[in-house]
Amino acid sequence: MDRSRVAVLYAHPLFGQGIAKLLARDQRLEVSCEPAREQDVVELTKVLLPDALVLEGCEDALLSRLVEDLPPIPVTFVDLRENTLTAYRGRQQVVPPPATILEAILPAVS
Amino acid sequence: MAPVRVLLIDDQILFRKGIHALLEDQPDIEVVGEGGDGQEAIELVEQLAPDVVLMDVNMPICSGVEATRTIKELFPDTRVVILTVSDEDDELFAAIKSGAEGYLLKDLEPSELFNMIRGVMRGETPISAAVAGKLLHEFREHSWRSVGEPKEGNLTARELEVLQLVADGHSNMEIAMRLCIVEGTVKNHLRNILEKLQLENRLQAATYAIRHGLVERPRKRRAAL
Repeated sequence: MDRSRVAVLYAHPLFGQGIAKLLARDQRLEVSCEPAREQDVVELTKVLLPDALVLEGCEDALLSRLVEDLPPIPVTFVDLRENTLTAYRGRQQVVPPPATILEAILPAVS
Repeated sequence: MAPVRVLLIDDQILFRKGIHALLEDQPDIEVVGEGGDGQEAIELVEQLAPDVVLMDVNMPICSGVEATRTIKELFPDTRVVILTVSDEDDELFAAIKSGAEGYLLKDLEPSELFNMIRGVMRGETPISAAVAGKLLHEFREHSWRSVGEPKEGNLTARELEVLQLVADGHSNMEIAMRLCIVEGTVKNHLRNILEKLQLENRLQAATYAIRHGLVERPRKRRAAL
């Protein structure tokens, strides 16, 4: 079975690499992990071509605009200060938000 | 050698689980428990007797600063290192005064965190470079709240030498090598310094010494305090 490719793009190495390590435990996922500034996220996503994206360290105000510019893949935003995830599928925000990252990127791995 | 036993305290569950996962690859570090607030931290320290607590600051129920103060009172051998996203002055200084052995920001590379955990077990004082700069700035501006009047007259020349090296960020072993004395003697000098200055740990001693001009500014580039 082909594994789904998930890219974790992060601002904080400890957080981003920790998330990638957790996701990599799931046999269904092939996880890549890269540091990225907000302005580089779209370009980097076009290069990596993941099936799902996890973004860490983006400003709240930029999320919806960023999603407009990204390919229509599941995108999950995580924040060091919040336990709540913000997830988008097909550019629509998921309400209520998924409880876990795996749940957030599930369409890509099912 | 037995692994360093680490307790993780952070209310951001994903961050905490992620660090736990990263630390599992380090054979000389063992995560013995996790908690999500300061009250849980105190209870887990009592139950698990970890060597090092990585402690967040802003948490529900009981803050990391309050928990650190209690832990240092009840379990003085447990080393507490603050690991926070906040570099706010109030929280930084409150954490230092609570007895924390170090203050790290969450923008660390994982390898830096691993090395700082090992370092704190050697008596080093892990401080993020950005925080060290902030401390020095505050000292220069003389805006840090005083912890008392200078008592440098009570320190011997040798103790001042040791204090300078502590402020430079050297471990006890490094100080011993530089002064051609054994590590136990360094520990004795440090104990005397802390007693004379009425402080709790080497970080407080270093900051106090710089604040009151007992020593020159730190001469090491990073993690100088």
